Amino acid sequence: MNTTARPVSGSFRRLNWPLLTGMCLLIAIGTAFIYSACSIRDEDTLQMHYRVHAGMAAVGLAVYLVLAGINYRTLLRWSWVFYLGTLVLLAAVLAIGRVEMGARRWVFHVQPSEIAKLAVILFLAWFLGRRGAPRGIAAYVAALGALAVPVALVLQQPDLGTALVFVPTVFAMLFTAHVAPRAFWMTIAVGVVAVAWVISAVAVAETWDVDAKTHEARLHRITGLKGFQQERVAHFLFPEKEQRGGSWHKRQSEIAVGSGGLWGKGFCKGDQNMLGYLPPKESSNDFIFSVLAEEAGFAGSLVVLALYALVIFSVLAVAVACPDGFGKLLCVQDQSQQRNNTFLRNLKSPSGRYIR
Amino acid sequence: MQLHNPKPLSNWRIVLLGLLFLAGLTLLGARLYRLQVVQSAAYEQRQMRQSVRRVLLPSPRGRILDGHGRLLADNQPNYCLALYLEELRCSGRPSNTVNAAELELDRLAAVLQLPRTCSRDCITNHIARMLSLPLLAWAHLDEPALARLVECRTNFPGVDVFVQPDRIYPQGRLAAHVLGYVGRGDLAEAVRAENYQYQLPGLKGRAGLEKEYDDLLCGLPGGQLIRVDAAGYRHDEWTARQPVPGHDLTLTLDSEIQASLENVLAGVRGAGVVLDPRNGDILAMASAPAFDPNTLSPASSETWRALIDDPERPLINRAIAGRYPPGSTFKPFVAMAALTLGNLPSSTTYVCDGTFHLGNRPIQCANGERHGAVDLRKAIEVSCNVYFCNLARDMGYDAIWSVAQQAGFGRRTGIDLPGETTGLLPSNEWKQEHKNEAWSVGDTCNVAIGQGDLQVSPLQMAVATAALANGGKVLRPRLLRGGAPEGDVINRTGWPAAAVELVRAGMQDVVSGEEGTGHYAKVAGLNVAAKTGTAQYRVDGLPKKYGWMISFAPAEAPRVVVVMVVEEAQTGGLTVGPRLQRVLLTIFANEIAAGGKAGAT
Repeated sequence: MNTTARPVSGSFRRLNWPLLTGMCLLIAIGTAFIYSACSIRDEDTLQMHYRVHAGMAAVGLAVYLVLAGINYRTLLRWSWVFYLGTLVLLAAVLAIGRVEMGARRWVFHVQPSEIAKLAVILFLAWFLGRRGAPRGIAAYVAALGALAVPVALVLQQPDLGTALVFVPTVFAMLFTAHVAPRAFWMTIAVGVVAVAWVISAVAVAETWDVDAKTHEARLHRITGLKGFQQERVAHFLFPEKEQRGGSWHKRQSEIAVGSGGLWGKGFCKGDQNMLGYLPPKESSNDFIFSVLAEEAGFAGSLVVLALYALVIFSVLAVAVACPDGFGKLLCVQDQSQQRNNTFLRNLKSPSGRYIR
Repeated sequence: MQLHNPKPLSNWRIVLLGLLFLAGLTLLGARLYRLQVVQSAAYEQRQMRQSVRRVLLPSPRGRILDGHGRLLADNQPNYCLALYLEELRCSGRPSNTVNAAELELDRLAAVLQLPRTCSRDCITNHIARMLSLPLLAWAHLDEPALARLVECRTNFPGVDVFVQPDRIYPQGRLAAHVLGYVGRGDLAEAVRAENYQYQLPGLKGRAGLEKEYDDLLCGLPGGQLIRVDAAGYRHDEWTARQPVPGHDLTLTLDSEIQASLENVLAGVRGAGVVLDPRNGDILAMASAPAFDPNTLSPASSETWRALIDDPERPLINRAIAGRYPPGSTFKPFVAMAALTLGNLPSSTTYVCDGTFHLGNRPIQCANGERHGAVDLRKAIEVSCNVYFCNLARDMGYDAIWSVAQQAGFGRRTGIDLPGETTGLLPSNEWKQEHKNEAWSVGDTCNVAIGQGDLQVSPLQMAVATAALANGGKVLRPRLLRGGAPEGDVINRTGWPAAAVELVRAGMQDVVSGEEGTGHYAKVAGLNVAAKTGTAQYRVDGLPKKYGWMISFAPAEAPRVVVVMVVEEAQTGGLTVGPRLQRVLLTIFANEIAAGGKAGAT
């Protein structure tokens, strides 16, 4: 490793232009299609939602530019404070948080689980990336512990989706940091076996000839999954089969994406979007990719994928060029998070299953 | 070992992760390709299926005109007020929208000064079943209501006036049985097959020509596509196929003759047919009592019930569906049988002493008259039963059956109207089958004087009379103008001209002879050939009579055949004669006037 490299303290001349371009374009596209998705809403405040989004994006860009000018090592040194502060916030959500759609996620107008993602990244980058950081089984256990606490708190909300985002991120980082390789691979193996168990259990359960209630109870005993979780797995495995309710939105977003065709139906001209077949309340966030895929078609979807690839690989390039462990781990984690966000949040869950 | 290197953050792990991401993105792209390019058409169809409703638009129905272009059936604009529910749509529960619609209807009722016709249930129903279509709130808006609406139209953005054609019959009851009536069309099988979800109310012929030529009259319905949003409200619409208006029908009917025929039948039960023996065109056809097709198109259930329960059965078209024994009007055909297939000379003479003895069942001449020695021509003139019984016995039934069959009795005439009867021309086989008895000479004699099991419709009688008038051509009667000028010939009987001439002479004597039974039908300045008939029947054990007359004129070159039957008559000559005269006077009014002047100068 090259330890005599130039200090990477920020300088605007050394801004990562490909990354910045990719992010700006994604923000622009996102804002445009949020505008399209919101245009059918009756209430003025909701129609203006795209402005809120654009404003937040501008703030985010400003923060990015400021942070780019600060040596990240300074940030990392204080990351454990950030991490602990986040844990307090997550606990506060459970105590005094605002309930919305059956889950307690908000406190002081923020979702601490979103902040927690960043906090875990920073904290582990510091913990595993500092000079002379431990690589043994103790460090492995400690890292998993640092992961487990916020995940457990997020699960209490409950918010399985967000909690799941943490896991692959941390494992990508552990892989890169090469911590306790034997324990790492064993954990992966256990994970694979567990997933295989659940999947085969759900698949076998499909052949049972019992009523829905018995089906759910028996499957719960074997896999520990709740009814709606069982259904998600089943729908993942057998998308053609009509599920016991609940798949209406998935079907609608599949129709939206599929009917988009090669070139799409045109901006603000997507039938599924404009006629409200995509859930209007969520079309501007969870279903935004369906809106884009319908109105911009396969061509538009590819552009977005390419921009994501640009962002991912420009960050990975930074990681490769990075002289120290902090930087590498920071980039890798950030990247894994990006990827997981991309895959889980925007594409897979609402738009039907894209990766078999 | 590399794995235990104290500086393990090597770049290959990062590159490996990068490759993993790349693989993920590639898979994602491949899946998108499958959805958006390979399967795109299927998804597009699913999208269409869930968001597009097909609506059938009825086309304007063709009109019906008489031979002079006078309107017999027409369409009249019916101004309807419709509510577009998507304009009144309220967020939240569907009942909010129902409330809004109710409020709007109340406001409209106040403006129109009309009672509300559309209940809350009706709105709820409409929302549940036909949300994307406008809700029909009022029909048959009159001018003042329309004017009041137009004044404050801007206050009602979700309201529209649209025109729906109503069927009207400007001449009222005139030719009601011929025209028939229409009803609101149901969702026909064809409509279902074409995957239409809705149809706007259309009209469908239910009887008469409206039914017979429904396909021609109704035209080609148009199709409208409505795109609906996820809640089912209309989003936009476009017309995929313009409706093609139905064809107008021009009839052979002559309104004046028709009116005259209906006038003479007013107040009795009976029927009449006027046709042109040269081509089979029907100039008038009436059945009494009649109905007003305006009240039936479409009918309210009370009107309908009343007509169905009426003992006079006004819905039946007696001219084509009535089965009557023809009485003596059948005798000219018996005469024709004797002269052709019966091989009896035209000079055959029998002596009438008032009674024909056959076993213990005597057949008498009307009014106990004794005609003495009569020949064929005289027998027709005086309608001598004894003569025709003798004649029938001597020639046998086969000749009578064959000629009657040639003339069209016992089968449908093929007129373009639904519901025609075949009548009944009995035969030995028929009697064996239905009565399990052999044919007897008594049966032959009964048929020869138009009684017994023989049953004919007035239209069959008219077609057969036309064959006598035109020299032996049996024509298919028709109601649409523009057919072949020589008529649709069903059968050329090949009756010898001399035989036809003799029967015609007898029929002329019926009207103008000294002892003629039909002199009440005499028209000055016109040679009329006719035959009366009086057939006995019983209602609840009481004897009644059908009065008949068949006729054609002018006898030397017949242009019209007039046939009439009246139920509960005195005799054919007394009851029908004067009525026939009035119809003939109407038909030949111009000729008679011109002839009278010519004679005067």
